[in-house]
Amino acid sequence: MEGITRMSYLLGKRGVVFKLLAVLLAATAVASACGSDSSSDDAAPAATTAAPAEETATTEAPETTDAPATTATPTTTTEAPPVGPSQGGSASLAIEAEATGLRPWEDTCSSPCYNMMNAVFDKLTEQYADGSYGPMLAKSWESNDDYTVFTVQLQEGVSFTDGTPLTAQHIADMFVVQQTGAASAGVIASSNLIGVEATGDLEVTYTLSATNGPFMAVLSRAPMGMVFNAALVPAGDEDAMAAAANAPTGIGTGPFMVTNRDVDNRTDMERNPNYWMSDNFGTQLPYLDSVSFHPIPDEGTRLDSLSSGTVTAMQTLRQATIRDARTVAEDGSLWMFEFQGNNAGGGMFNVLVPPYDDVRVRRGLIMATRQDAIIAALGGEGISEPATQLYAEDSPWYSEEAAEAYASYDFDGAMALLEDYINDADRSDGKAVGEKLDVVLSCPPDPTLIAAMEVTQQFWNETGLVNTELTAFDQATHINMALGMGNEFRGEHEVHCWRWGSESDPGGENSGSAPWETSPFNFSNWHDPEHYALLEEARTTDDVPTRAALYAQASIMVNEQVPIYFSGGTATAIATAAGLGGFDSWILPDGEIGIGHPSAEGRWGQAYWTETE
Amino acid sequence: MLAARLVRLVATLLAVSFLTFFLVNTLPGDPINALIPPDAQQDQEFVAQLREEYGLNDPFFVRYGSWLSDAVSGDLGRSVITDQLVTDEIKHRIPVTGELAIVSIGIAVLLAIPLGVTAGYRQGTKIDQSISALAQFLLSIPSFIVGLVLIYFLSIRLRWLPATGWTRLTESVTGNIKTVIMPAISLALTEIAVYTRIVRSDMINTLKETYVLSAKSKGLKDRFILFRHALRPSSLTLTTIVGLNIAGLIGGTVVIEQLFALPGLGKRLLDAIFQRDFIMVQGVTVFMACVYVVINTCVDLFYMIIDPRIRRKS
Amino acid sequence: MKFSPPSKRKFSLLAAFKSMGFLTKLCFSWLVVLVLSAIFADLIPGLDDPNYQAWLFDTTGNELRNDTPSWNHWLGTDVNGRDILARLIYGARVSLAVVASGVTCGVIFGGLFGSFVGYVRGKREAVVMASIDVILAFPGLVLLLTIITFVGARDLKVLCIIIGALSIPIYTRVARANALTVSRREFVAAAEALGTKQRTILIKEIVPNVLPTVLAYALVAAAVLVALEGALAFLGLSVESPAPSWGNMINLARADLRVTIWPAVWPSLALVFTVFSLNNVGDWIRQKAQKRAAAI
Repeated sequence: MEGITRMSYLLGKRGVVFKLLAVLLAATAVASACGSDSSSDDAAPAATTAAPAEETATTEAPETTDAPATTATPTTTTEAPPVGPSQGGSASLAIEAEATGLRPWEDTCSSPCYNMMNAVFDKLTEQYADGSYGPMLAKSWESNDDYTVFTVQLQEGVSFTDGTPLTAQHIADMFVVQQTGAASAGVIASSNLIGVEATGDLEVTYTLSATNGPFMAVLSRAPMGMVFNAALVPAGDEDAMAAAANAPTGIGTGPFMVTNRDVDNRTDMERNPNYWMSDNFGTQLPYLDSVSFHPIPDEGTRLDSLSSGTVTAMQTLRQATIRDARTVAEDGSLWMFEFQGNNAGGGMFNVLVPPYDDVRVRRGLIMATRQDAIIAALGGEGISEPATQLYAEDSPWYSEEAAEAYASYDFDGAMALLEDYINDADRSDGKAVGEKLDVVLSCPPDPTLIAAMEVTQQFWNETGLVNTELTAFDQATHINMALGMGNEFRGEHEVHCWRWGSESDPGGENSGSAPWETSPFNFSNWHDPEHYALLEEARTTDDVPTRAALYAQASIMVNEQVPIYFSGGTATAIATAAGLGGFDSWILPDGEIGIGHPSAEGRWGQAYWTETE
Repeated sequence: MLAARLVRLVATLLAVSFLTFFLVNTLPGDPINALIPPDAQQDQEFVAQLREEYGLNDPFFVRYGSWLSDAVSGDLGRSVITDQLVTDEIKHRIPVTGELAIVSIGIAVLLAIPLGVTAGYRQGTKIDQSISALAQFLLSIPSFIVGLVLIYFLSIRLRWLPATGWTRLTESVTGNIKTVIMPAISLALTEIAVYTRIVRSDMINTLKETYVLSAKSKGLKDRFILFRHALRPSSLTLTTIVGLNIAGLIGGTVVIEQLFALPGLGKRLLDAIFQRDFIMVQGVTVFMACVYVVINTCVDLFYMIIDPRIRRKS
Repeated sequence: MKFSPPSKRKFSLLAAFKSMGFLTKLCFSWLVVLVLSAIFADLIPGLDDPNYQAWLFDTTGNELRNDTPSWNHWLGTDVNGRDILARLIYGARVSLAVVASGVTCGVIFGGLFGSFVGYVRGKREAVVMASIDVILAFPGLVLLLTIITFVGARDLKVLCIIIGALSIPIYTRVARANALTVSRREFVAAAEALGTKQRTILIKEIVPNVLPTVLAYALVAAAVLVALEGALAFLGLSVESPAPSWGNMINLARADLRVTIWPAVWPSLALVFTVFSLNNVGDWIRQKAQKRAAAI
């Protein structure tokens, strides 16, 4: 079994096991902080974080009109367009949670800590603005015809921050550590990777056990893509592992070096004077002399910190905070960098638990709710768009037919379905005919999520056919319930808030950004061989229209069966003090513009203060 | 006498450590069960191996014994989430929480003494009543509301102080003062009320004592009498309460640390609780409790030294 | 020679109320109104369902959310368009339940326990007080958070049970300290001299005289519990929504502070004034108790 194989990697190292839970909880910190409806990214190391893709494009592209275009001028500001990047200066970013650690192979994290990791580490590949994959430390690559061997050429003249030159052997050595890494082991298994070899000074060969067209996408994600010096973390050395969590000098090749890490307070970084990348005008990167990161879990005081000048930037994944930041930004004192891609809030049904095993109940409940009202309760009016599938409208995988198949608001239709169920003599929950349904809805206890839950409850109760109970648990518990470690992974959840989707190619792990395979990470427990076969098929080609047609079919099946549902796209933003920008104009080494700032992940190596004075 | 007190200290510490271990290990959910990754549970052999490795098959008292002997030698284990040593985390964070506790109590004492002395001296007058009402009012505002109001005025409106964060004393003294003020005031308000009340009632009692009366008859000035003769005995009670409060605040700053994003011990514990990092919860809790017990004992000893009457009484 | 313990005196609520200062009268009245309206909330005419969100089904939609005070909604509506006054009144039930469980457990178990060991002294006292020292060494909030999180369930019953149990030690300590003083009094010595049974003395003499002080303490402790519910809600650990509680209301409204502050202000005011009233009335009772004790 795949699970067992994965386990054998873990067995190699004491403590890894414990850390797997840590991985699940990585994003947690204090519940309210982290993207509390627990993005599948945060939650599921093996199944979703790996989640990568293919050279052929995912989507990205901002969805709201306010989202910044690929210029340095954010659209919500009234300031005159900046002249260009100035050299020097410092920036401080308020992040929504502290990073468990800065070890890409070990500490699975979400948006807040990717902001830090991206400053310390370079990845092998990066996504272009259109979502396709381009060079970073990997200068070029080719594969054999059946996508089982990938040969990668590294950039020349790159060195770690302590001066050690980067060679192909470093990448091969990383693999030893990654095989037991709590974040990377699962990715290795699900990407079919079985060997990494240095086949030249700067040539690395990746060998896979089976076809994986989108493999290079795996190298654009932190667990496998971020390059570190494995010599700093010799096997079995617990102290070195602990020290690596604070990213000591020499561990990465990135634009910044950590000079001070005061956990839960601040992480200070200074520019790497020997950084290998330059911008399109030949100016050596990074522009900023220093940058610091400050975890501030409370949404309100995080924005307060920015508007009072305590920090010069903040990130948020909450619509209500974006709304408030926009209000503050009206006088031109803030710049907004918003992004809404394929990530969407919503939830799932545990289809192994009656009455959710019956599609009439699942569809009926979702048809009884108005997505716009839930978005309003989340504070996202005019910020978040409703969602109908795992892909946003500008994604190449988006399907109009799938959108129509979604269980949109239809109160009478919902009543009909639910009545049909409760009057069914064979109803699965074993209650008497005509008796009301008992439903439990659970989200993490963030204020806006609670408001949204209350709205949902009101809709359901309004049918007169449902008793809805609400529960809210801290993020760690929330994730644990969905996993269901105590009951063979059936889960202890019923209707559970969750966050779906990512910018990565859906092909990477056959997940479609939600885990559909028969694994513990298939939280809704919905698995349809026919549906899964479509995903498998989409992996064997790299023709976008063909794949898009297959994903459309898959999306339609999901929307008919409703194992998961949506409550609006996840709007994210980096808000900065006016003058600090560059988040949507960063480039890959070939000079092309990168993907911007999905999930409020900034590339601080190319952020700058504009030359306006 | 001293020896007896110390024996009791050790006994209490032992009991505290036992209770912590007992609580953390008997709360619902087998610790290992909660920490095993999904895939691993299918592998019975592995689960067994792990249980063995972490000594979870041993009887409760054996586990407690080995944990205790480690703890006594200064090893509280490593966080299961971050790999950091629990003792390192405590060392790193106690300066923050400790400073917060001391500064807030300092503010409270400085304000409470004049208030309490005045109220006691003017017992029964309008001034006394107003001070009592003020104290009750301060006692009534939850600290997080005070914090929110302070941030709004001092940071957003006036931009005098940073809204969040912590500058360590070793980095910058002025920076440190700026970051400690708002959280310390948020915590201090409640304490002011408590101390004022204590000083007031002590003052009323001591003012009746003969030596104060005789000082008065000698024609000494009121203010001199108040602060020289009357306040001194009541500083004893105050010391006791302050000592206990410092210990209590070590665990009582959770909400404020969360609001102001301070890297304190309370916040660390809260995170550990949410993450089910049971080794961290165990270590930090036992540390907090021990601090309380030790300070409590110190206060008792201090009391004995200062006031020989106590020794005789007990 | 006959000693009459003060507890035998008749107690008149009206006389007591009359002897209060203006502020205390105000506070006492507030508490009475609060308790009555919380208990009989269902009978108040015209009071909205605290959970009904009209905006979801009303054509005017969004205008009903975060609404300003009006004839229909005296204190306006919250983020989900619910009547704030109704939520305040029903929310008081949570605070009252928490207080009731803390005070009941504390006074009954802690009070009796403390009176008993304070009177009988000896080894039993030493053991009980030593264990209480141990329990009190743990920061209360930390203990509460740990138990709530690990237990997982957060309905009102669970919360009340935990808070009730955690209240006992501190009440025991207060009661015992008072029992020590009371048992040195003449009437106790006299009863003992007359050969009255220990149990009778405990019930007839000690407990009634310890009680006023314990009750005064109970009001102060109640104030702490009302505030504690606010702190728990701040950390997301108060009762499950949509059940209104003052802490939950404040916490929910915090996300919208930059849109409107009133949904946060009303429950905050209710909380502050209730805590204030409890402290004030508690102080008043304590002073009365002291005066009476001094008068014996």
